[in-house]
Amino acid sequence: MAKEPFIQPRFVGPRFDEHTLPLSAAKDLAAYEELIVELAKHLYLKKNGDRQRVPKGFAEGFHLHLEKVDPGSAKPLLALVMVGALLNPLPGEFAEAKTLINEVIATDEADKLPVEFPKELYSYFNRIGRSLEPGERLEWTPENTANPSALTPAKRKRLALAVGTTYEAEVDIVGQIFSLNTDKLEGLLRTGENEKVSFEYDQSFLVELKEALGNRILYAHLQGVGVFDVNDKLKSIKEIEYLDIVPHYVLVSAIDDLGSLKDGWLEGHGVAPLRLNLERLSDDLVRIFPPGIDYPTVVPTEDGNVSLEWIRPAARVELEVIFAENRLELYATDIAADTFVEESFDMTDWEGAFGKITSLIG
Amino acid sequence: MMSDVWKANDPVYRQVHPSHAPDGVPSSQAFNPMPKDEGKLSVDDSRVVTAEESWNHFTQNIGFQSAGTWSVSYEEIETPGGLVLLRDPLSAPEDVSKNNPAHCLIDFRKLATKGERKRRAQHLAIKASARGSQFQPPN
Repeated sequence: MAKEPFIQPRFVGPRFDEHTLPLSAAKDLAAYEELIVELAKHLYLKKNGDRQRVPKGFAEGFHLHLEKVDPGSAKPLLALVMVGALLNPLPGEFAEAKTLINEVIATDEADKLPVEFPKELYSYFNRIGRSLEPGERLEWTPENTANPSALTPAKRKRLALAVGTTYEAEVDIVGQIFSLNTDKLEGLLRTGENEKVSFEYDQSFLVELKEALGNRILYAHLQGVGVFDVNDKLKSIKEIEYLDIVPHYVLVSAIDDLGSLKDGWLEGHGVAPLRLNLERLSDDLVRIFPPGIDYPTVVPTEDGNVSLEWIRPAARVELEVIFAENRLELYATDIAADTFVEESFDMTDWEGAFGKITSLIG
Repeated sequence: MMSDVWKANDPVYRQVHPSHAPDGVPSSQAFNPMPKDEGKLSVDDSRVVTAEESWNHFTQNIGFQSAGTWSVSYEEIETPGGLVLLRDPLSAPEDVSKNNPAHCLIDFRKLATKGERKRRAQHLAIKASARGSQFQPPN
């Protein structure tokens, strides 16, 4: 077995400042290895027009290994490890493939893409660099300061769309499971915008997906690989990597958002709600929120409490949660009926409060 | 000098903190005087400034956050009873950019109970929401 350096790209961005690589970046590099092999094969066949296939063993032993990660921000050294049946020496097409890929990535929007790069291989840019977040880049020739062949999320999208109408990117979405096809391992997710997005899933997620199917309370939080059109509209989800089923997600996340407030949030005044109080409120509501009513608007009060408000064109129903006093205060105005309701409940009597609210908002 | 007499339809402008309109519609909290307000709700007189000027002053000169400008009319403030609209021009000699000749107060102090104040705040929120935002900052 022989080993020699092949390429040392550089991941740039705050995530890489500690000179470490997130595991998701390994997928980018694995896709790069596949592209090198496919492109080298293509280049060989183009040079040898009389051949239908590459010589036996052409790429069998070609493997890139992550040898180390050097500082600045994070520079993984990809070493070429030659084992088994690989032709000796390494066919020149592998080095040519590396150079051609660097040229493709180095192009600007106004530049023409190299004609030597086959159109069908642009789809690899759905995977290479997919782990990059906004503001990050992956430089393939960092030693070339004038043009380090930097792959950014925007450039990756442009390359993936070079021959297609969709591109793949990481997706993080919440919705309700509308339907499941357990034979095809496919389903439909209804999003917060009331759009239906198809998804494919692995058998390991089936139990949780079935639990959420058709359930108005349970929301599915999906992370994985989405397929987007040129306008960045999500068309489908082709892979689920993470799934969490969250009861009353819309309400819980609105309460959770209040945890980001700092003291002084309201024009220099305003007490930040206590995290413990917010967690208690979420726990209570997950347990007791009635299925028949819509979710309220969740807002903070100046004194660190939380108000839940149902907004209607001519009416307001407000439930103020006074944590320190374990009290729920209900205030409801209907200007069409010219009525006002004021009532107080102990914080252990959520059933009583929601019974009244349900009667008010019908 | 601007008079203290408003016509029924004269609007006054209210700036709404983003946390008080998370879904784009102001909650009643936005029209309820907080402890810091000591029973008086700040608004701007539309006879002196536009909705956009009111937002600009609040966010750029004063440095506060606002999701947009909403309005209620003089009639909506005073007719149900209990609330009074007062002119309250602000001058800040140490920083004239903070001067606000349009500043007014909706005085809730005649309302004795929290319930009465809530009822009037909800009434104002309903009216302001029905009229819609008068100015929204660009995204």
